[in-house]
Amino acid sequence: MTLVAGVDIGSTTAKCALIEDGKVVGRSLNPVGVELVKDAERALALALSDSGRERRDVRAVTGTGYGRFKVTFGQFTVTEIGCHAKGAHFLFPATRVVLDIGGQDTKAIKVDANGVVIDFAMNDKCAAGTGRFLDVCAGALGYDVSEIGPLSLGARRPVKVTNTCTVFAESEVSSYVARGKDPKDILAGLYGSIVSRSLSLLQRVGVEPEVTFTGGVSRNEGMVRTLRARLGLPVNVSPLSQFVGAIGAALYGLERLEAVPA
Amino acid sequence: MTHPGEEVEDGPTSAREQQRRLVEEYYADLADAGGPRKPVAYMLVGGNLTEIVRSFGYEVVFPEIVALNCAIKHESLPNILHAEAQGYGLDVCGYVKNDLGLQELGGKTPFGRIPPPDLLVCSFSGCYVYIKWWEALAEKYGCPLFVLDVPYMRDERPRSEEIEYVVAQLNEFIALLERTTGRSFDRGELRRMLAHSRKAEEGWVRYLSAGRRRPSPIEAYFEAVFYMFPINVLRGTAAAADFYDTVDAEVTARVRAGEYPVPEEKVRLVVEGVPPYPSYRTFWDFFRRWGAVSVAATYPKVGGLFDQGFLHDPDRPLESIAEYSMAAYVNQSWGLRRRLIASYAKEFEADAVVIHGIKSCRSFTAGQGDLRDWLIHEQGIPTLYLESDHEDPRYFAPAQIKNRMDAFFESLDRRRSTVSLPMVGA
Amino acid sequence: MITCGLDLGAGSTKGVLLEDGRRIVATALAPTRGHAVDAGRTVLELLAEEANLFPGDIEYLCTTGGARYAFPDRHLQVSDITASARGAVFLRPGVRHVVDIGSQSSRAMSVSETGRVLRFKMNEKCAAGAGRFVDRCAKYLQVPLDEMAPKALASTKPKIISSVCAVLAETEIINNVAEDVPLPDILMGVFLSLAQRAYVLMRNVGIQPDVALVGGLVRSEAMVRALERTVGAPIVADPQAPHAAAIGAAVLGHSRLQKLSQRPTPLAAAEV
Repeated sequence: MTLVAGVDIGSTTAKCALIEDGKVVGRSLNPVGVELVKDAERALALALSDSGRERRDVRAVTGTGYGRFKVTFGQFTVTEIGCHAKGAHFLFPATRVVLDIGGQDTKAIKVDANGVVIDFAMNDKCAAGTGRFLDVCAGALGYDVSEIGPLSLGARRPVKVTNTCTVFAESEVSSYVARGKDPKDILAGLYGSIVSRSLSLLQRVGVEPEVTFTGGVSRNEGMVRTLRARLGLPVNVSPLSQFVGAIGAALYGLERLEAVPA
Repeated sequence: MTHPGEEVEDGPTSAREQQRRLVEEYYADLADAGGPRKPVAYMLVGGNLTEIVRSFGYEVVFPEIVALNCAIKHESLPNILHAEAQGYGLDVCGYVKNDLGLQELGGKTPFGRIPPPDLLVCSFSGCYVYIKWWEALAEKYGCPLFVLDVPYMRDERPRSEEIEYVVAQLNEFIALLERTTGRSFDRGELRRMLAHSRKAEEGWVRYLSAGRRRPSPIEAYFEAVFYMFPINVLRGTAAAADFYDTVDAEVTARVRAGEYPVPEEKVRLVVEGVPPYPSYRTFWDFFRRWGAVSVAATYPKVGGLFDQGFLHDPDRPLESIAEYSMAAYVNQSWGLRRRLIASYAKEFEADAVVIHGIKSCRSFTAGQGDLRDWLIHEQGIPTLYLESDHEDPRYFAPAQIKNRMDAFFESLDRRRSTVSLPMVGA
Repeated sequence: MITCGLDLGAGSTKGVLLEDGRRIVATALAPTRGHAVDAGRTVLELLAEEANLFPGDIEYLCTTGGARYAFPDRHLQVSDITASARGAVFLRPGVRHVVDIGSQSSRAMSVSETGRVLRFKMNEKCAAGAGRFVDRCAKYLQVPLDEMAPKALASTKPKIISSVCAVLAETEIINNVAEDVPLPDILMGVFLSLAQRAYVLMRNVGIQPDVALVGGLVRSEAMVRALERTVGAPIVADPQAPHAAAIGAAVLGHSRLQKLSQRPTPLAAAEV
């Protein structure tokens, strides 16, 4: 009975997952601000209260994400790339490729049968195709990014979003709005644009089933459908897909505990 | 130029200190250069004709090296911004913009003032932007411009007709120099200089091959960048030749004392690409944290592929210069480049390859994505591709670069700890 | 004679009413939120209300800004470069150089004494996202927009963000937060980074005094200070400069209207 925690401090949200006996027993998700240490502490406290466990029962805390060094009360830090690989393998053991679309970057990760990273590719040069891109464009449509998931369903004539630059895509979306285009079609166009970018990252590491989609953007139904259609393959999406990084981090901690006998 | 040996009584001169002094002396020498008495030639590093030019009494300025010196001292951005204010776009090579900005701002560098050119020699024609750069300078200063058309290297060795083609141009170049300076070509002087070059080249090759040892007593990328100054800038002088004796002694002493660039060598790397000079220390530090050491690198070969046997030969002066020019690393086809990198990985027993791509470069960097795929999928060598710029600090995103490196070294570490697993692409 | 200038920008829509081409009688602003036409109508209503007029009293309407063609009820449209130059000189006749930092893009213009554009330069593609960048930083750093400037001015060691791309610059800011860089230094760094980008454009067209900053960010004292520090010269920051393009459009609308009324057409004559 070993309880371990993973805390994932991303660019927009802090996630925490608690794992005990191979099961996720608690989790939390909250926005991050400028006091990352506090955000990390809150993430753990909320997950603990979600699970009904006590802080003293936690054997190891592992930090991941951009703010992983702010998990100052933890024992280990691992990059989110390793964690997404491990977490995806935990949820879907046959995973060979992970697509993680987070706030600031998009990663395609190739993993082996044990969930170890073989290769990865990330968006370079610009933030095109990231969660931030979607966030900004949702804003231009007058929605919050959390609302737009199902809105593209039933789009009939997706528009072409030609700008890969987030800054210009925002005005492109605005101009489609001004021209009276159906928001459904605009969103479908945006998803198409992000998926195209993601596909080129996936191709860089090599597409192989099973594909698991993780990160905040994987909560978006329209994105998932577009990805499945364009890839021509089933795509695993767990209800815990936002917590994959945190789950992977927790498992790393567990592995380290087992490697070093107490 | 003072002979470095004269100052030995100053105490134990490490190669690094000696290199610093050579840099200072070089720039000090340039202070009063320019004009008929002490004419100045601008040249590119790749496949350069420094011995020929020096034999006619020219001082040589390498604007690429001036540019990297500005960048490493965090002084490149004002020059770049000045060039951009003149209309050079974001995508134009950082070296070019640094130089054109610096020329407009009076030639000030962290080490002293750079004199304007009396002669422009474009020794590497593989990059069109470079040719335009030299044309822009020729227009600004109204001085003669000589473009050596170097055939692109597709086979392991240059073909005889290609060598003849380059030698014919070298003869035209010598005629131009004779007309411009009013001096006649001194074959004996050229041979003496080539003998110095040969000695320096052999020393440089000895230094670079030390990376084969385990652990490596040298840092074949970050440290080599410092030690390549004499071979690139002062080639043909006795000072450059002697410098590598000091380097030799230092490497021997390191091995004897068990002092290594990375105290605990964990990862052995082959590095490809020009370094991010504006964040050189930060970038190096990202490697050191993981116990990663470069055991071989392609960048120190941009001045010449001496380790592949392309050395200057006093007995075949023009022919060996022609072969050397063709064989410069930047002039190699992608097939040759990637085979060389794979062979370094094998011979130097490297664990992985790191590629650093240059955002503002469209010639040398193009193809590095395919190189990465080829190394991973065809050769089974874990490879990391990073991108920033050699000159423009605005493209170095430390958080993102560090994150990629951490992830790469982490997975490398894990893959090695689970030995039963197949490596990449297997 | 009332003319209206309407600046339909990517971030916000600005409007002014001008009496006889000389006196500003009303100004208004509304966020665009992707609905340029609606925002334009809202601004027109606000203007009429402020000046105690009916929208029908506006004799001539001139639009400018990115969505200037989208607004149907216009008599004339002019480019934002022409309009902000003219507006800046209208506000301060001594101005010869105008730098306009908008929400999405920035431009620098050298102008004649009549406010005609002599040379101009806009930002390159990857260096876009000026004002929006500040908005997003405010949101991320959880500092209300109007508190950004006072906080930034307390900075002692500003942390300049070198990235050209506004979105990647955000990652750098997040990283600065993770590395405990003090908030005022991050904030001032944001403004200095924008100033540095604008300075490249300004030098490209040539800087001549007086230099005026126009566009929404002129309200931020930190932006003005950052630009002064970067350029090394005083910057004219008129309180009405956020509306410079709308003012310029109104001025240009007025002169067009005058020309039209001086050229009697049978219809116009009948109406008079």
